[in-house]
Amino acid sequence: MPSSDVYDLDRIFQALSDPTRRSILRQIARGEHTISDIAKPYDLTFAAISKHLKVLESARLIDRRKDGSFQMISLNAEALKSADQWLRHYQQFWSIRLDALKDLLEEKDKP
Amino acid sequence: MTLSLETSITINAARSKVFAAWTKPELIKKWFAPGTMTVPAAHADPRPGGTYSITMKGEESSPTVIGEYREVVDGEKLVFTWSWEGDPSEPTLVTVTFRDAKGGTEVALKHERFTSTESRDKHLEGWNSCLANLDKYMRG
Repeated sequence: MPSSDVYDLDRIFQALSDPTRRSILRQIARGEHTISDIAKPYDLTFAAISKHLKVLESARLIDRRKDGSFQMISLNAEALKSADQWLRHYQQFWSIRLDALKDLLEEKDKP
Repeated sequence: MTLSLETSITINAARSKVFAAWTKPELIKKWFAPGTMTVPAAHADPRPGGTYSITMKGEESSPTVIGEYREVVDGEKLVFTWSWEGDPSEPTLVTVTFRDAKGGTEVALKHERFTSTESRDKHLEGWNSCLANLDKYMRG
């Protein structure tokens, strides 16, 4: 069994591959929201919003907790951290490429 | 030194209707993209500090613009930041004012804080095309 701090990158990137889900994440990154607060700025049905939340939840990008009769949704930043770490591995490649470009341009400037 | 652009259009419709076209997601989806691009996803929470996002779908790419409302005066004025999702550069700033005019509603748009002429010129072209699509949509 993987430990609870192992995240499923397939599910995370699949969840992130939709602009509505990315905007929901940006929204809840600002703080905990109820489902109806999340739904308000969209012209989507409650069912459509719930479906998006389920996808985010299956990737463990969001957490739910009950507060009386309300369900509160919050961001699970740890899951995003695992995606960030995966991307960060490639950071070295683009910085190497930028250095190479810089060298090339400086070379050109020489008389 | 940053760069800015200004453009405007007069739309043959009441001010409240034109303002709604800018602030209601179901209406934003009808026109808010240049040329033949469509808007498959949008959200808008038009109050100071509220956010919006608009995804424009073209044949080759589907960029999403995101931002935060800085000022919202119902039926009169919108000020919001403007960033392309995934672009790390500083957001630019859009001010849209709505005025009663002969022939309907004048929509005046100012977009500032560009750091390159290329970006400014592309946005000017984009806005003019978007505003033409708004006009087309409002004509029904």
